[in-house]
Amino acid sequence: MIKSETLKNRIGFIILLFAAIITLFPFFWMLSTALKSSGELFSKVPILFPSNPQWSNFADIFKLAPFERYFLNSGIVATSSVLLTVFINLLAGYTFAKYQFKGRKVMFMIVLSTLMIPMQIIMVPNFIILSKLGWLNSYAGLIIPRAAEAFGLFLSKQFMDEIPVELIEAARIDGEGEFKIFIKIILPNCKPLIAILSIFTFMWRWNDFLWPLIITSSKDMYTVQLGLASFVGQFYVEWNSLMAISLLAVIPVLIVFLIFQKLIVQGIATSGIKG
Amino acid sequence: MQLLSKKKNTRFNRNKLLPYLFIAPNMILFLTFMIIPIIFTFCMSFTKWSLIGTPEFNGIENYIKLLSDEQFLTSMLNTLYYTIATVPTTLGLGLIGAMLLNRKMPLRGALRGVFYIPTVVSLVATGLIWQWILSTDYGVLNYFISLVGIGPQQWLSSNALSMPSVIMATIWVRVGYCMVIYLGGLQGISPDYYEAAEIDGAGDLKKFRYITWPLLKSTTVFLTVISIIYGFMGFDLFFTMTGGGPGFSSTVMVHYIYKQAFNVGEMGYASAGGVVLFMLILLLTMLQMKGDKKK
Amino acid sequence: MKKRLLSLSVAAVIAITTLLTGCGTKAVTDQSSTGSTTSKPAEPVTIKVAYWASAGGESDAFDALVTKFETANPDIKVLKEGGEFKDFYTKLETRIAGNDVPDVTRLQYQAVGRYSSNGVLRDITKELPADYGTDFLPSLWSAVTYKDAVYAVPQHTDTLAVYYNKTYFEKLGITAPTKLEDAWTWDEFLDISKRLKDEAGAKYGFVYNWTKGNSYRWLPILFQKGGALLSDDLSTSLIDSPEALEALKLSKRFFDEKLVPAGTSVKGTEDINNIFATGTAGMIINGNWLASNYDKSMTNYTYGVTYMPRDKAAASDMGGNSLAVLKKAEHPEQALKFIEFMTSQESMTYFVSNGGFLPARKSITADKLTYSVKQPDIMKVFIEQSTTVPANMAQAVASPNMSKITLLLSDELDLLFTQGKDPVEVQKALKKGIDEVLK
Repeated sequence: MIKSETLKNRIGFIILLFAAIITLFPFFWMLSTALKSSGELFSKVPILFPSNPQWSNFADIFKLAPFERYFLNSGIVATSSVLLTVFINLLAGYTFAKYQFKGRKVMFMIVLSTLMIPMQIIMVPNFIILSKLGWLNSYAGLIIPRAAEAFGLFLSKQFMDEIPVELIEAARIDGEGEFKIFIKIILPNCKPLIAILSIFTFMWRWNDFLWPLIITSSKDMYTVQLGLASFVGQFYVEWNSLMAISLLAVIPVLIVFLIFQKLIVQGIATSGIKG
Repeated sequence: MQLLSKKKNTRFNRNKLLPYLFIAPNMILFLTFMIIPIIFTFCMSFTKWSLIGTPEFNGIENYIKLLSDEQFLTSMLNTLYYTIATVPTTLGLGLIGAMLLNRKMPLRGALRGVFYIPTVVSLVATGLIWQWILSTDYGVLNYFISLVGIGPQQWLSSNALSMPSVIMATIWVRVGYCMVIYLGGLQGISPDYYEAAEIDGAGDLKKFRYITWPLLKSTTVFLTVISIIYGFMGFDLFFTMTGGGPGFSSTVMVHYIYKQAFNVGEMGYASAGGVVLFMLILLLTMLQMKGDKKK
Repeated sequence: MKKRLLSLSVAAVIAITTLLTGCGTKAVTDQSSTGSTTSKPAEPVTIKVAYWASAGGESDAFDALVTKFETANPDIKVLKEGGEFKDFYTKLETRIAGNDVPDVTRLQYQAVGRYSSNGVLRDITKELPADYGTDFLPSLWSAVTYKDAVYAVPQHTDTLAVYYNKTYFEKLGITAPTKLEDAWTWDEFLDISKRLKDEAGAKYGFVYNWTKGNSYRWLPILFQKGGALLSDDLSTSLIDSPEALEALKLSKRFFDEKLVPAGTSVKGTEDINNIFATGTAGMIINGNWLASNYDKSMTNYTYGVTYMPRDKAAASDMGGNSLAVLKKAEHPEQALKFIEFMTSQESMTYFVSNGGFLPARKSITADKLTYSVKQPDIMKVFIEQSTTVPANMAQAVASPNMSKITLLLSDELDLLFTQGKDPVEVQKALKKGIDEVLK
């Protein structure tokens, strides 16, 4: 009996290893392509390991377009979004979880239903609204509207559901104000949630493409994803530069992911259990 | 003051206004940037509008036109094709992967992370890398299959393969997510169940059928709902990889609506399409969740 | 902390009220004084210019010209809203719908009709000097005119010709025509394509630059066969002629006989320039603006340029762009000044030389231009080819319904090329569709 379990474990491992290699291959290929010289890109037999890796391709990108600016913009947008989103989602998640008020269920349903609205069909009205607010082509426009993340609210409520109400009640007996309770009691108990929400929000905002596309009109407000997409339209597509840019666009999120991997995966896993 | 109960989920409502204040930032944002726009789109669906002109009210003409619009119906079928192909596959592969990962093996943490990585990559980059891999003349996939004797395929430029190409890329993106969620679900199943089954002499298949699968039901429902929504909203990969072609073989609903709005210049008509799509997704989601409750 | 919450809520409430009362604060990006045109403004006026430009020569040329304009006009500042061509019209139209209108926009000739007929562009007929249009190529000037009113000024033009792989040609002992009268017929062209495949080692004979929805580039073939798209008064389509059927059948052969890559139909997304640069295809029918790219990317071969094939007539694509003032522009006077500057003889000479484009002015002859391509003589071929644009085609292309017609062409030609639709059926569908659009 024991032997067959070990055998199954071993087979499972091999299958997963094989699948992992397939999963990782596109990234490897991105790097390999990014390091090729233009001539090597179209060789009859694809070169897996370029003999003379052109690391300069990465530096050359910055000559093609002001990517430092794009990175700065993406960084500002993502970081500010994290601060704003995490705060308002924690507060709202707590409220939906622990307070009884009229319309609670309906409002939560409305929030969840926004997950089903494809951004493309509300692009134009959003543009008009932003135009009237004067937020076009600005950080405000990039950050504030996207701060309400339905999925983040969902995660937050799930988590807050689990916090024992005794903690809150005890504080109330002590005469603490509601907001103070939130700050002093709830937040310290939410460290994993804060971490997960922060990481996810960062990733979501870093990867946003359609929204920045709609509201920016000058290159100095482009984000990294927009910068990447802008190269696709060019008449002549240099694949090595494209892959280099793609890698640069992906690396920050990858780094965040690799550092906080355990936390992220756990967070995702718990969100799914309750359904 | 309300009577305090020992139950976990007691709710409190001393200050009637306070909860509204707390959820206000979120609600205001949702209202302004999601709800109002969808209402706007709904209103626009009853007009003829070219974006650069002025809207003219035309009743339900757009909706009637949609019913007989062959291309719209094709895009609906394509969307169904896409969803039916991606949902069971990603869930199935995710479940298998999770079950394998749940076993004892070296590098478990690393493997789990690896499969999740494609989810965090932006769809722009994903579309680009897959376009490069699937290129008919220069793509590395055609090279690999040539090694086993299969001729070069026109992944992105043939009717038969345009959809499967995007489906392939989608599976690459989504399996890790399903895997991780299923893994969480699996780890929540107490080993006692399995031990009891073992004592009763049940084999692996029986264990799966009577323990694992039923206990993962809510996880499966959650993943199914999310994946169906994702499938119906598919756009980015199609936009980058195939442009909806060749012909209409890979045009999905969102893409068709987008084209109507910005290429054809029929914003009113596109809005009607958008409303129909939204209703469809809403309907499907509600059906899924009701179906789950009945069981 | 509560204060922050409160201020957030207040901000949101303000936002909603503003929205509901409809008196929005427009995107304030200029530090302008309000619209007085008689007295000189105390502060510089900022005009918003929407355009697209490829990285490299075109983009640099734009930047240089804008700087020059600002230096010469210290009271006008230019806010460059340069984007990518791919989403340009989407953005522009969304902006117009949202009342965030730029002052100046760049427009392809194919797009002018749509915008002018919808009242989006400013009628500048009276604001231009009386004989302003005489120096411009007639087909281009008619393209920016709608119902006898001028709505845009031509900035440059482009056209299609045949780039060929010189290395392959030398191998096969073929010399390309050097005079317009000697241009190949389509049969000769297709024969050469076959030879390139069979004898020179190319995978495909040629590629045609009508991908990514640019189906209007098929029209030259129609005219080369002696057909036409619309009647002279633009009221009916002439696509049901036997010449048109010939053109459809001919272009279908490209795909049926595997002379072009299957993925390069009108809706294709494949990168056609790589296909030519790597010798995968022996020729490419593409435009003048790509010469500098091929200079860079064709490392293993040399290339040459010759004329488009001709059967009953010579014809080529009317490409290029114009600059227009938007009707709702905040500063129309300064906007027009900018356009006049950009399309002046001096600016145009500079712009086309650096961007690899063709001049829109008759006075800018080939000897006045110094292109930075490896073989400057090839540009002469393009310039000569640009004179073969049929007047009827120019009219049709600039008509208001061209965008819808292009879409129809995209759908039907794609069916013809990749789905095996019968040319007769395609012709019927085009006739029906175009006539409906024209109603």
